Amino acid sequence: MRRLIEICGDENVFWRPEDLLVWEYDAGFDRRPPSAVVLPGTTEEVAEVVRAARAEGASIVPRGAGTGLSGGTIACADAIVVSTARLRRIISIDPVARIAVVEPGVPNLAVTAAARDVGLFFAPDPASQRISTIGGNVATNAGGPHALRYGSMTNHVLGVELVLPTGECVQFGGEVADLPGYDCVPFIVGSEGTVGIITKVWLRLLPLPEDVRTFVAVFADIEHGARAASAIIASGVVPAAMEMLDRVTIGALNAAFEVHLPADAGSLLLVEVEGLREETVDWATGIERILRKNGATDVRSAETAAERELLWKARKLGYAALARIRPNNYLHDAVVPRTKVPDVLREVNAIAERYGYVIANMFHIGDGNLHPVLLFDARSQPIDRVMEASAEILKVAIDAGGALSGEHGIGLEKNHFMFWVFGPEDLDAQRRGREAFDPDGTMNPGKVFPGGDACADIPTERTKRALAEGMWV
Amino acid sequence: MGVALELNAHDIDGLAPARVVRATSETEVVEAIRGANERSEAIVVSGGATRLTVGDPPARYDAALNVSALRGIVEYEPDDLVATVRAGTTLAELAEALAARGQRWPIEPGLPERATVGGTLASAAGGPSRLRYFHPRDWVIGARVVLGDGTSVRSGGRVVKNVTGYDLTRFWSGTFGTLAAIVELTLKLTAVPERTVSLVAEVDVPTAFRAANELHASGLPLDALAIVTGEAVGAVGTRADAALVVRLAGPAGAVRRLGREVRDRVLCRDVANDVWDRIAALPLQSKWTARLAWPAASRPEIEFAGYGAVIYPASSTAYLLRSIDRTTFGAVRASLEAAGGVAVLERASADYKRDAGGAWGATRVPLGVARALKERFDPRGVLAPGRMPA
Repeated sequence: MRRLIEICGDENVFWRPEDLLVWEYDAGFDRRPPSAVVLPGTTEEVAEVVRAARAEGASIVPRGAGTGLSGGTIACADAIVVSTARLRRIISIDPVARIAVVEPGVPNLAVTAAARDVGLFFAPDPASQRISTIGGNVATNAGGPHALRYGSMTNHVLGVELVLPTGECVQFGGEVADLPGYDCVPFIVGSEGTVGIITKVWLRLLPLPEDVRTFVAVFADIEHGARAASAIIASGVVPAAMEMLDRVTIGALNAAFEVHLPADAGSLLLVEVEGLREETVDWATGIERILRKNGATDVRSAETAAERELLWKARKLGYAALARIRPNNYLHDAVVPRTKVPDVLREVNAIAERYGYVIANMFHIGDGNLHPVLLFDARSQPIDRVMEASAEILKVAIDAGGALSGEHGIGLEKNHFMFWVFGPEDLDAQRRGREAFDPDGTMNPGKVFPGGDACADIPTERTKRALAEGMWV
Repeated sequence: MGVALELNAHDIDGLAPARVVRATSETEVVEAIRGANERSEAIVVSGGATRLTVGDPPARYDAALNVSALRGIVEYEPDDLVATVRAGTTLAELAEALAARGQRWPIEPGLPERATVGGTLASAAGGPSRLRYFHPRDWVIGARVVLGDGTSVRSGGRVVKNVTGYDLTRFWSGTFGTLAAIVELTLKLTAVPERTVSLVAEVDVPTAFRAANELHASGLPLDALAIVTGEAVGAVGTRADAALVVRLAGPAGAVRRLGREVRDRVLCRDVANDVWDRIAALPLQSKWTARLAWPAASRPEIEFAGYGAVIYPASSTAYLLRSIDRTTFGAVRASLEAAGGVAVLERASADYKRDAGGAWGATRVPLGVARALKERFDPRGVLAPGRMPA
């Protein structure tokens, strides 16, 4: 502790139990206090902190804004949390190279705002973008609605500076493409803080589109909306974003904000196309035809930028609105092949009904990334049962050829379910990659891989393990 | 169909393997790699052999493991815009299968009759499509590979968005068969644009760069942008100092508008779209090729007039096509590396590579991590030892 204070200063190290309370959770359900929290102000301080922790045999958990949903930043094994909160400089925005170089603590939206000043934009736009940090976005391979056309973080990270578990500071990738040697950038993106601490990121920026068209299609039920979405993808026209909101979500949003969504709709598709005016006209016409052919009872365009912003605001504040229905919610973000979405949604809703939970579906339907939100009241309804229903939902998605997570990550929430997707050799290969960076397993122990017991004292751990093993056969 | 490989197609910089193994299944790839482990042999994995000479010559070369017979579509779900294909499937074969549904894998590595899907990822192939569709790995979502110890491993999946564990799929890109042999890939697809047109401007070199910079800075969604110089302009069907070649693709109305925008900035004429096949092939057919890449703000001061090269200005990359003396190359490499760029010898004799200080130049990844990766994925060093820095 004394060493950490020497490195970062007294005001940037927390260790008293009352100071650690706010660092013991993320946006999910699990809690566990770290042994200390340190906020380095420079890359050099990060490296020194890592070396000091190593000398003491302490594990490290990197942390951004704590908006993660899968427990990735919960400190298991008495780890020290290294926060990137003070590493929040935008180092450069290069309009010619179309690259931003930023520190990991910069909020996602700040990059977008800085890029906009030079006629560019940064594509990944998770709903948490006002708060969540670039470092955390890299660690979870974050997506967002516009990942549909532009891809997730992995498609936009050109380079990463990383402090390895040894305290050595290294760089992978950067402004120049295809540097000699193994390009570990795609391995680091989505590695959930298990291979090092990210201290700098090179991000791809794109030219702002000339024209944006946003419209809302109204359907009588979820089934028709889902079939229309599949038909749009099948046509080969990939919109910039395509989101589904179901009846429960629409009701909650109308009650919470002045968004005036059609109250009688069984489901809505929020569709956006971007490009040259000639392109957006062409695509919008084609998409509207498909929507109507597949049962849209109404298709309304956002006529002004303000209307469009209101629609997106509604989408991104959706989770907050759901709290009006029940105080707590639990959601997974499994992904399924897009042709399977209508069938999977039917099964998902049947599971919620069988368990007696109100379910809200508000998700990235264009890339098959489900977000079934089970609403409940933790004061009277036990979390174990909610987790059981959620695990059944995951199972349905995996059986349909899907994946456990599209953009939230595995963390300690879904690590035991990894056996559902990968065989022992597949997991061993992932472990070999991780160990090339962190042979001693001191970076964010207990995450991603199944079977370990670094997080065994987390209360829900036993439930998750039992569910993962029970449903395996 | 396809183009037969020449007799010595597996030679690398004058090195010939003692034998060539042609695998027709994943099991045969596993057997070949396990056998190499048992006999402590070094093997080099190849597909269409269009980029086989990229990198340093292997330290040992006992057998070539060719996977070009491991080909064909495993599963194609057009409505998902996803296809799973065997690694040895050629780009031409893939394009033909997808065209029936108006779709394509938008990556252009050059020589599509020979270049394979697996080799395109393994070599992080560049080409005209880099401008709009970026890296080959951006269009790959799942993989099956055989590691250097003979273990079969699956990664990723059939969904377009995925953070279920570590992304080995994209990590295999640019590893040149030194960690694993790719046997199957799941690809993300896109629709063939309604209309595609290409334009060429016959200009001098400074005008080509000026116009290219202006077009790029306009933010217009160009589909491809290249400058061809020196004797290489023959591939574009011109005799000017330089050819600036632009491709536009999209809905017909958008392409018309883009055509007007380009013509407003530089005088040009229409050219058939297959010009891009010839441009992309140039770096793969030259006897000597060096790939240069630089930070956008520091383009190297090379006199391209009268010198054969293919330049992708918006990607800050150039392929030099005419051998230059080793001292000059050394100076070019040194100045690029000092500015944060690279000069990689993609095609050169073993002597040239050695005298130049290696095919890759200064290693830009931490060697400790590179060695640890090599030791873990290929513990006995059977996969092209010495080809990549580790």
